[in-house]
Formats: sequence, structure tokens, C-alpha cells
Amino acid sequence: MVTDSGATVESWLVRKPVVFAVIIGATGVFLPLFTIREHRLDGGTGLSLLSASVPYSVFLTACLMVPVVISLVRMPARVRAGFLAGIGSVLIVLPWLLAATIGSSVLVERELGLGRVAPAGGFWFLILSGIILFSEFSRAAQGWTGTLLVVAISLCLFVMFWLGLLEDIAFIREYRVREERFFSELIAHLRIAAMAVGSAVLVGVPAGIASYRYPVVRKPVFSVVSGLQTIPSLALFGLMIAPLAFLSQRYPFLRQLGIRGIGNAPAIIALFLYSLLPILRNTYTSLSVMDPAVIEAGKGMGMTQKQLLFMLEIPVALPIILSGIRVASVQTVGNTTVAALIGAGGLGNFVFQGLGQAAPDLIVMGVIPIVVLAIVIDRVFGFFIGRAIPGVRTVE
Amino acid sequence: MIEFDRVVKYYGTHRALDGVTFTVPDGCVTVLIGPSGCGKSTSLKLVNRLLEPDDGYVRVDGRPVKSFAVEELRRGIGYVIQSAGLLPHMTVQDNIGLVPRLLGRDKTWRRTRALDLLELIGLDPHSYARKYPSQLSGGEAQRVGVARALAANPPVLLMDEPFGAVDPLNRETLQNEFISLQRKLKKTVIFVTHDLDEAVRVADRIVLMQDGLVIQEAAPEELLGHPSNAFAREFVGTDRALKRLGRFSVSDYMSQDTSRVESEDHTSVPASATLREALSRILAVPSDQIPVRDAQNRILGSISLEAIRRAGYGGAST
Repeated sequence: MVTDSGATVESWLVRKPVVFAVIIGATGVFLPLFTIREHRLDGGTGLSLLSASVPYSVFLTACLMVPVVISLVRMPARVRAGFLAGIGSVLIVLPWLLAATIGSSVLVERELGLGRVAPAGGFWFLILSGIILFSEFSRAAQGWTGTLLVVAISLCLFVMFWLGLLEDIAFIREYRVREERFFSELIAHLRIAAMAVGSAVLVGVPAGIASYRYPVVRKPVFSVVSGLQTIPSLALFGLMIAPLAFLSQRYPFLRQLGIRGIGNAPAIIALFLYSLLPILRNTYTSLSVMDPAVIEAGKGMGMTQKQLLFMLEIPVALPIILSGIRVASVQTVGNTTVAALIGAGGLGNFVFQGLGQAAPDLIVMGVIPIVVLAIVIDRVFGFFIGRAIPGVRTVE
Repeated sequence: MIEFDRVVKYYGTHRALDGVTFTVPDGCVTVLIGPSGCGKSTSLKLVNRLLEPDDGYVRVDGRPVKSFAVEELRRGIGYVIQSAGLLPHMTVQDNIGLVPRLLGRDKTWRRTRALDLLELIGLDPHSYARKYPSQLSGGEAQRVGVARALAANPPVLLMDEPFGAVDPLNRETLQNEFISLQRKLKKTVIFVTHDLDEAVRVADRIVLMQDGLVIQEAAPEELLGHPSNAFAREFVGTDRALKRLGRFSVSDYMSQDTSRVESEDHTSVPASATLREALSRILAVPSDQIPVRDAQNRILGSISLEAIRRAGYGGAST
């Protein structure tokens, strides 16, 4: 009885994401895969996979059938998960290969030397279905399977890029024109985000500890910080301009430090204020949910207040504090995009340029690295949170 | 020796301790017992100053605890609590070495000490030293909690319902282990519990408390034999005579005479058992006495219903 119902639950948990991924992937087969543009401002014409290449359509459909078959066949859970994650990886890499082959050949056929292949709905849907399969099953595959697949995906994409196979893709075109600026903006983006989160850690963690230690402090600190969170980011950036402009007029040394109404300073300050809440809240919560027996044991063994904090409370709270910093980091990498509006650097510059020029490829070029950054940062934190404190059970 | 001298403690307006006076002699186990809210845990925490009294004195070896620097006092007193309170981010070995670390002992010393103590409490040092608390069972964690309290070799041990969170079967094992450990170590122990059977098993002396007052301070046999008032009588229960038999050992009351023992008797009792167990076994056979065997299963003599009755009635033991 028990095993029966267990198996049903398990297979349902396996099937749900599979069904979801397959529906999305199948939709991708029918949607236009690419938009073929004559030049960057051209509206372009859609190109669906079915109309472009029958063999590829068959192959893709087969790829989408495999997960369905696998989820119905009896096999050990981790083997199944490994297969599904593998298929997911194929679905992530395949669209790029299609762009390099079908897309490029269409450009040659239509004699569009300066034309470009802009990824369209079908392209993104296929990748999305791959990501669903991969992220659902890579962990259940256990061991190094997930890591190996990530390395394989990255390697495939990098090799394609390095061999020049992806040059016809629209946002790669945009990137090629701005290669140097891309890297300086990427670094600016990271610098702004890191300075904001870094200072939020320096303020938020002590504030969280203080709120826990001195209940009097808690209310005012929390109401100010949560209040800040309710201001829309765009408005907060705007609000920074006037007071900072005034201050830098008034005190020339501030201007020498680079603090003006627009630019990096207001952006970093606003992003810093946004990062405070998750860090403060997690620090406070991690300390206040701690097992009172552990603290009593620490006191009873003769720890001083300082030893209690540094040898016991902070180490035990660390996983939760780190997840606060993780949330703040991911959120800030995204919000830094908006900072471009008030003259701060960063990848947001490309996004807003693209919006201004009605050039969607440029927007995509700015957005892709932001998304990748956010995912990488999230995973890096997940890795450290899961391993830094071996004795403490954590949610990864 | 630890003395409580007219100690008063308030929680807000509630008088948790109402002039408590008792003494804890060196080298034996004094159990504080009573219903919840009687002030037993509060009293315990006054010794290592997790709480401070509002009036009266707590003295250790004649010196008021107030006169010690609080951290120093605590490092000199072993402390065991109900849910073990092991630090989750440290290995078993580091948990045990914590007080020595606070006292500035070096790493090698702490490691050796931790391994010795694991041996002493009956956990294999090499498989347990590097485990984390989350990998231990409740009973194992509690043993490590005791080892940690012993690490700096303190003369005094405070135990706050140390086995309260362990299942009954394991609890009895832990109690027996504690009793044999205490026979070797002769610490001055204050042991808080609300479980009378546990108290009778481990105590040299029992302090019975109710509503912040000491009702009776006596040896377990005395408390069970002569409860001093109605509350004490009710607390020790109607089976107090039986419980009292649990304090006496078969070996002290058996007769060496083996002539009346039939060798084919299946029911026998080990010499190390209590009279309570012996009685229970005699009641299950038609005869008035059963053989007593040693650990090697050899017959040493017999124990009779008559001998048990004499012990229970308060007859002198030999």
C-alpha cells in the first residue's frame, strides 16, 4: 500500500514538469523560431521551423517525445532524472544550432548579406522548456551529472560563439559593434551592484543584530527599511537627484568624491536602500528563531556576550543571513539596469538605448547578460550556503 | 557544598521562590523534585547565575555566587540541559572542548580530552568525534551533553531534566550510565526532574518542592517511608512502599542458604537487582522465595518474601 501510493506521488511529481516542458516545447515548434530582418530596424518576417526544415522538425519532435516516454518507463529515479536533465540540455543548446544553420542559410538564400536572424518566440520557448527540464531534474540526478551538463552546455555555446557560427544572430551583431563598451558596462554594472550590496551588508547585518539584541531599536529600524521598500525603484532614483545635487553644490568636496545629482552615487545609494530589507530581515529572523536551548547552553558554559555573538549566534545564523544577501544580490543586479536612467553606467544603458532607438535586438543584448549574471550569482550563493556550515540543515 | 539560604525570587509579581533553604553536600547527587512551577529549575539556575535571586544567598563552598565573576563561575560548573543544547555548527569533539577552549586550553589537549570523555560515556571516540549534532540520536546527543559538562573537570554539575526529552527505554539506560559514572567521578550534582522514579533511582538526597517552598529534604528512603505532610504523601503516591523497595539491593537482603532452593527453578533474580524487582518475580511464582544468581548465572542464595517485607517495613538492613 505504502509503496503504491509513494510511486503514484513520485510519478506525478516527475510527470508534471515533463508535461509542462513538452507543451511549451511543442508550442515552440509551431511558433516562428526566428525573425529574419534586413537591417536592425526592419520589422522582419517570421520563420517557423516547420517551413524551414522538415528533418530538424522531426528531430525536435522526437526530442520532445523522449521525456514523455522516459517518464512512463520504469527505471531508477536518478537515472530517469539524468536522462530528463540531458534532454533539457539538448533543448537549451539546439535553438542556437538552428540559428547557426537554418537561420544563416536563409540569409544566404534571400541574399541578405547585412540581414540578421533575430530569435523569436519559438526560439525562447524551446530554451524555456529545456530549462524547465534541466532545473527540475538536474538535482535529482545526484552526483556530478548537473555540474557536467552545465559545463557541457556552456562549452557548446562558447565553441559555437568562438567559431563564429553565431555571428548572424541579431543580438550578437549588436554585441560585435559594441564589444569594448560591453565589457566596460558589464564591469560598471557589477561594480555598482557590489558596492550597493556590500554597504547594505555592512549596515544591514549590524542593524539586524541590534534589532535582535535591543527590542527598542527593532520597530523604528524595521518601519523605516520596509517603508523604503515600498517606493518604486524608478521613483527612488528620481528622489535621490534633488538632495544629492543640492549637497554637491553646497559642499565641493562631495563633488570631488564623484557625488552628484546624477551618475553612480544616487544609483548606489538607492540600490543600497533596497538591499537593506532582505539582509536586515534575514539577520534578525535568523537570530530570533534560534533554539533557546543552544543559547542557554552557551551562556551556561560561561561565554561572554561577545563570545556568544561571534562563536555561537552568528555562525548558527549564517546560512539564513547569507540567503538574505543572496536575495539582495540577485534583486540588485536586476535593479541596477534601471540605474542607467539617471546616468549611472551598467548594462541598462544598452536596454534603454535599444528602447530609444526602437531596436529590440539591442535590448535583448543588454538583458541576456543581466539574466545570466542573476542566475550565476544565485547559484554561487546556493553553493556556499549549502556547504559553508556542514552541521546546519539549510534550504538550498 | 552548595547552600541555599532563604532565597527569594520573583518573576514579575509572582513569587517563584519563597525563602528556599537547603544544602547540597559534596560528592553526592541531590535531586530537586516537585510539580511544574514549584521552583526547582529556578533554583538550579541561581547556582550558575543564569538567574539572580531577589533576596537571600546562594553559596558555593561558603562563598556567595555573587562574589564570582559570572563567566568564571559558569566555566567552573558543568551544565546539562534537557535538549542537550549542542552547538549545531560544531563537531561533537568541538562541542565537548568548548569550555576548555573558553578557559584557554590548547587544541591537542582539547582533542585528547574529548576522545577520553567519549570513551567514558560509552560512544566510540573515532566514529563520533567528527560527527555533527544533527547526526546524533536524542540519547547520543544527551550523552555528549554530559561529556561537554564534564570537559573542564568541574567539581559541580547542574543537570536540568537531563533525560527528560529521551524515550523511556533510553532514559533508563542513560540513568544507569549516569549512576555508574557518578560512582567513579563523585561530583557534587544538583539534578532537577519531575519524575519520581528517576529521582528515586539516581538520588542520594531528595529536596521536594512545592510553590517555591521546600517541603521535605531527605534521603529517598526517608522521603518514601515518612513523607512529612499531605502534599508529600500525595506526591510520592500510594505505591511509595514499592518505590522504596527500589532503593534496596537484593544482595543486601538475600540469605546465603541455598538448601531450600530447587535447582530447576526457572524464575530467579540477579544479585544486583532491587528488592522491587525481586518482589515482582516472587509474586509471579507459587513459592515464597526465589534463587539469587550472579552475573555468571551461578546460584548465590535466595531471597524470600519475608526478607523483603522486613526491608519494606523499615527493618534494618545488614
